[in-house]
Amino acid sequence: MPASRPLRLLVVDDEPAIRRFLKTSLVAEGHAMVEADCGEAALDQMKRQPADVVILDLGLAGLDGFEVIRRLRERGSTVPVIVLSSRTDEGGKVEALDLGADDYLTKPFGVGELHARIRAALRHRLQQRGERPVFRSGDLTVDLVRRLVSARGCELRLSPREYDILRLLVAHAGKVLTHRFIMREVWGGETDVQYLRIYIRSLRQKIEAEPERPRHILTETGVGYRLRSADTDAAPGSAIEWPAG
Amino acid sequence: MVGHSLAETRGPARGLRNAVLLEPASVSWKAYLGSAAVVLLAAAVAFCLQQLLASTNVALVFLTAVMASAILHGLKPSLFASLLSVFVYNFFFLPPLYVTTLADPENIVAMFFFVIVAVIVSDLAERMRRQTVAARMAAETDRLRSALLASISHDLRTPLASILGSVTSLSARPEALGETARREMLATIQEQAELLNRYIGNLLDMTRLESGAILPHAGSADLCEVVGSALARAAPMLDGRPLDVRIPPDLPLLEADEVLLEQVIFNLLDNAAKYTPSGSAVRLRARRCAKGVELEVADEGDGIPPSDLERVFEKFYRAQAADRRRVGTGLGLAICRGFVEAMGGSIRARNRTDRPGAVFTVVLPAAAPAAVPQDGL
Repeated sequence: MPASRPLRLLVVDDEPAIRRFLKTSLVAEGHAMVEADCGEAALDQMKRQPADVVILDLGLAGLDGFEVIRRLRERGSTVPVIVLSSRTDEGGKVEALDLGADDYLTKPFGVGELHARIRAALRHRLQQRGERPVFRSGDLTVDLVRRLVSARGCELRLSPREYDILRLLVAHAGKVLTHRFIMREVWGGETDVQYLRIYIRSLRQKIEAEPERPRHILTETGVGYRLRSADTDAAPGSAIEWPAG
Repeated sequence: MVGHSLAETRGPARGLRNAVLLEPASVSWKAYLGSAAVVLLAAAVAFCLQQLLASTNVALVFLTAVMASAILHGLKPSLFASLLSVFVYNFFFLPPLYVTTLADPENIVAMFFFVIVAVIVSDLAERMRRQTVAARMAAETDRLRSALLASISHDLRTPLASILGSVTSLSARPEALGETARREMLATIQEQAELLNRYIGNLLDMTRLESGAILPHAGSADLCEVVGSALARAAPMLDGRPLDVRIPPDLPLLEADEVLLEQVIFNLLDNAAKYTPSGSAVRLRARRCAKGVELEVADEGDGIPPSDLERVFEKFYRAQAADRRRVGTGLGLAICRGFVEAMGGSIRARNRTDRPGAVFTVVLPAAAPAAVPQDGL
């Protein structure tokens, strides 16, 4: 067992009630939580003692959430950022993700979802140091070395583009990917989002048992797609231990 | 029943029509024609009465005409009526007749005062007309506001009451409650909080619609995908109802905003869940149609009274549930119609012919097909 220390989470929200409820639940999960009630304090906090994950409300008074992400990334910080947004603001979520946020949660949310997002964001950061050769989730298996994909026990034939999309989703399993990000990574530039929809549809027809009720490639309406990943699914009591830095 | 009397409240169309009445810039040529007709009528009356009246008193008949056109058509047409009256009065009734000049100084004075009085009367009558229209609009806004308040106080307070009730019993004497009771209370809290969240969402959507803040993103949507996410979100409400979903795999993409469309389908599923017995099936069918793509959501409830097929889309309309309990905010279907129409589509309600149950049909335009990607599928 590697030596481990509790995760340090920075919660940035101007509502004391939200910070209080997050503190109770994050501390109960064994994490350490620091809080900030405005964007300036958050940036300050990150300068003094960087957190492992930032949970950031987009609708802050003063320096808003978007600006906080922009400045963090400008400084070269790669800390995973999970933004909290309101239901009616799809545009804001997409903007925050394009600015470099890792994931989002729509208020109100359950803690299960929050822990799943934290796990997904951290897993991705860990994975970048060494991609796992085989991805398994439910009845889906993707062998990234041999480029083999199978679902429900059968090997599937994917077109090169379909494989590229699936590989990208696997590399970011559990994390939301915006339409724009996928198009940029797969096509190398802006394409008509219609192409992406058509490829996702054909990919689902191959890997999903019921394409109209997908279990693997989940739709984040108005934002993008998320590949479900068994180890980041909302499951109570499955906290990650962050290896000592 | 509050829910039913509120159903009388009209949609935004009425308000829009009133706004047009208030807007003088949009006075049409018909108003001027109407004013001219009133003046001609006055001339005819004056002609019959000229044996009885002194020629200066004939002016009163024309003043009546000016006032009538101010009330009927507003300020500009009534000023037009004043000018026309001046001309007709002078030409036909004030000596010398059939010329536009005046000889008698008494008639010049009479004419002068006629013009002043006609302008003042036009203005007063127009102001009165505006006040009447404004009062009518205010009454309508009041009715909507009270409907909204009734909705908020009932629909938001009911879940709050159960949440507060459960929380206080949990915190007062947790040990007195058995494990089962505790779990049930927690489930109630979660379920009622989610209900509250949906109500607030509906109120927000309706406000956005009314204020014209719904500007659909020009974009494409895959119906199969949107149905999938709406079903996932609606799963807790559908409570295990069997779902029969058939969407052809080669259906064209839609020209629609997927966020709005998901809300439309979600609201239709929510509606089905509210008005049908648990365990009854919900059927979703999609197909191509002349206008694009058609989606049908059919349930196995009691259906909709034929007289209410159109009214179900009105704000605050609520059908009575079987147990006479009011369910929902009466906003879900009004939002469906608002969103679908904002996206250039249509929605209608009918009853099933094969068995009791309601069917909602949404038609949306298909997206222009994108060129086939170079590398194929």
